[in-house]
Amino acid sequence: MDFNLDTNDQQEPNPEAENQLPKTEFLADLNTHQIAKVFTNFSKENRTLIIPIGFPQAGKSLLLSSLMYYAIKGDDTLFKTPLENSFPYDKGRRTVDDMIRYFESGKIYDTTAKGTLDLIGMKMEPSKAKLPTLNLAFLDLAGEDIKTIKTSEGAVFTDKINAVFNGLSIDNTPVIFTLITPYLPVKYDNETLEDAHNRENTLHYDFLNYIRQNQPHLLKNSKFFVIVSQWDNNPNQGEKVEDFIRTKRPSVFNYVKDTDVIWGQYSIGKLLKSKIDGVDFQEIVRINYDFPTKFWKKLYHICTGKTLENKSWLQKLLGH
Amino acid sequence: MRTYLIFFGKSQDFNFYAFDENGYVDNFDNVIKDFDLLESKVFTIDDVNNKPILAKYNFKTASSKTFSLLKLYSFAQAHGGTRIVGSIYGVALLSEKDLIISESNNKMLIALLNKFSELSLSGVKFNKSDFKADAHSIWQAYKNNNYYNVIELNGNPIVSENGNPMGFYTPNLLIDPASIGNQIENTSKLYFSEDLEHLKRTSQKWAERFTLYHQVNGKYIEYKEAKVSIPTKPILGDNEIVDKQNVENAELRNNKDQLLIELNNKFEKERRIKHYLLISTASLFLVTFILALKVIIPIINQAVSNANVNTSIGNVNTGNTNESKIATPIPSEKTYSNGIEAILDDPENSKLLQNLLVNIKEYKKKPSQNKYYDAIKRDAGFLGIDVSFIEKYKPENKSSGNNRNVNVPSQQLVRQQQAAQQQKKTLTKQKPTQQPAKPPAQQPTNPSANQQPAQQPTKSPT
Repeated sequence: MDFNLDTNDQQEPNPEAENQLPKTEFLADLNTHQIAKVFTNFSKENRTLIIPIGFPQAGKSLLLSSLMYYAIKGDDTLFKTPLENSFPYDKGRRTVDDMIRYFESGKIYDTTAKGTLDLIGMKMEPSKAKLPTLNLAFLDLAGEDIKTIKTSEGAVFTDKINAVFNGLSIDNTPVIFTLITPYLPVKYDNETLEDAHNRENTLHYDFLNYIRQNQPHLLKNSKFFVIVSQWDNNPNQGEKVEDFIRTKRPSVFNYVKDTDVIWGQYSIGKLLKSKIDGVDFQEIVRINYDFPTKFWKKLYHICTGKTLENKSWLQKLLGH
Repeated sequence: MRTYLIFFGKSQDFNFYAFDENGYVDNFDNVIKDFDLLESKVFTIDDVNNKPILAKYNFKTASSKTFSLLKLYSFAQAHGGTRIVGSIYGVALLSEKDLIISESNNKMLIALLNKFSELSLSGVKFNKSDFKADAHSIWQAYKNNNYYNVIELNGNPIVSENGNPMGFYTPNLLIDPASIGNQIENTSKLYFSEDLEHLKRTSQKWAERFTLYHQVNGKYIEYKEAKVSIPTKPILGDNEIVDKQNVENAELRNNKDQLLIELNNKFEKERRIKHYLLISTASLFLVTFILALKVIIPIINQAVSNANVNTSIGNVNTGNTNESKIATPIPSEKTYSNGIEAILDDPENSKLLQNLLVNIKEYKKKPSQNKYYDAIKRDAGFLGIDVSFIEKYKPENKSSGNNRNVNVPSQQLVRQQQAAQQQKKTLTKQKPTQQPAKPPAQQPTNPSANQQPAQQPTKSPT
């Protein structure tokens, strides 16, 4: 059988064209120097970088999906979020489209693959004209890459992630590390729930310690959000998230309690779980809008010092 | 030159275990730093029913070392997970030499994948969160059978500058890739699959970054089809349309309920705030009012009392008993309280008061004794005390039974009393240590023609 791609009737791949330099590469395809250089531009763009830090199965991708879905599809009239399309945000743009498509159809989005550096660029444009526009970028990393920070796994980040930090440190770009830890972490073989909690606790502590020891310059302009995801699994919805973190993530709590940290819980909504032919299925059947609303408003306030919503003098007086 | 046998999958987290001919490679970063080509970023698992995918990459590391990777992977759900998309398990060969896409190599990979599935999966789900032990036992059998020597290799890997992958629909994954895979040099990433729909979805998603080819008349040409939205929506029957509408309606109702709840909560909060504010304000007002009563009003009272004392002094100083002008009446309580204070402050006056009381007592017993009457009148006038009530004890008043008007002091008596009081005060100011002078004896007074009210006491026979 001849293998011939040069046909008259059909469009065929042009070997010459294929041998040319590829179309614009994604961020993750660049070398570490090129990656670092991309992040040196953030301060010029007055852009704040948000890095969700979550280990495998923490719910990081779903949380991001929920946020993006709300930002793009939500009926909130307080702000709009036009997305950046061009490099280095092109891959992130596709990712957001997929996230929203999956979320809308109730499907659980793909986990972020190892080596991923999806950069989602956007602006928060408040409806009130007097409020400033906030330039943001979310950096989606794979949980497996973040996990390498664990002491038992070498306590180093991948070269790509280190390249990101190196680029950010040039101009002390503001960074918000969003530590995402699940209310009920997945249990590994022969593990109790307490073991799983301890494992999560150790992982996040190792991350915080790494930043402090190896990237201390990042701490100058960094803030920490600690978010407990999958909060709908908590039978006691009245429980304070700070109390949960104090008891279940004590190392993390002690590390950040005296810093400028913001605690919060999150739930994407209600999931319907079924098992068919030995395979577990989950579908999002109820979407929660309350948590993403609070997150976006809090984020805006942290970054700009201003509030998105109109408050009466009474509410301001009472700190509502 | 080394060749590695690799087992990978998302049993919980994504993990891989690589074995060379000597055994497990503990730190693979020493071979390839941050090796991340086992999970595909383009042609990945997206459905439970995906068929296995064969892929070949030739690549260069950051240290400019070239490798060839041949992998076979399929769907397997994580042990404790519920995800579908991205849930994979697979086997791979990695070599510093170019790995040929041959029937032999493909057969080897299929056998390895089947064995991996047999040990680590229950159906299509991982039965353990860590498959390292299973991987090791398969490798052991592989090595014992010298299968490393069976791997088909060819020269050095050729790495194309074109990083965009090409996908091929191959109805027979074992045989078809072998016929074409090694002839393609203009890309370094090749995918083969028997799952045309999966390939099409990926091609539509990635467009120019993933070109799909299929075989037509013995030749592979680019696959062309009208664009279909992803995921494809099935044509709905009437019942399905209704069901879909019901679901949408339920969703809308739920959204509406959620919004109503949020709105109610908001109103409730505001109402509570206003309520608390009102209560706080009222409490504050009440506390202020009570304080005012206790503190301010006594101050005001004191000020008014001082003003009245000044007023009474000014009004009494007439000096002319025949003056028709009537002195400004003084509230009886004020006069009495001021008189009593003056009396009690002065021991002589106090003694005089005692004498007065004794005389009044005696007079009541013996009203005919005028000496008591005179003394009472005299002393009372000096002290400024009204004793008109003793008139009723006079024998003529008692017999007539007419006791009216006896308590009404005459104008003359009032003026005399006021004059006496003023005199006393003057004396007190001039010589505080001196004993007050006793007033001259006063004649018993008779009601004058100007006495009011009108009725005169009538004499009755004794």
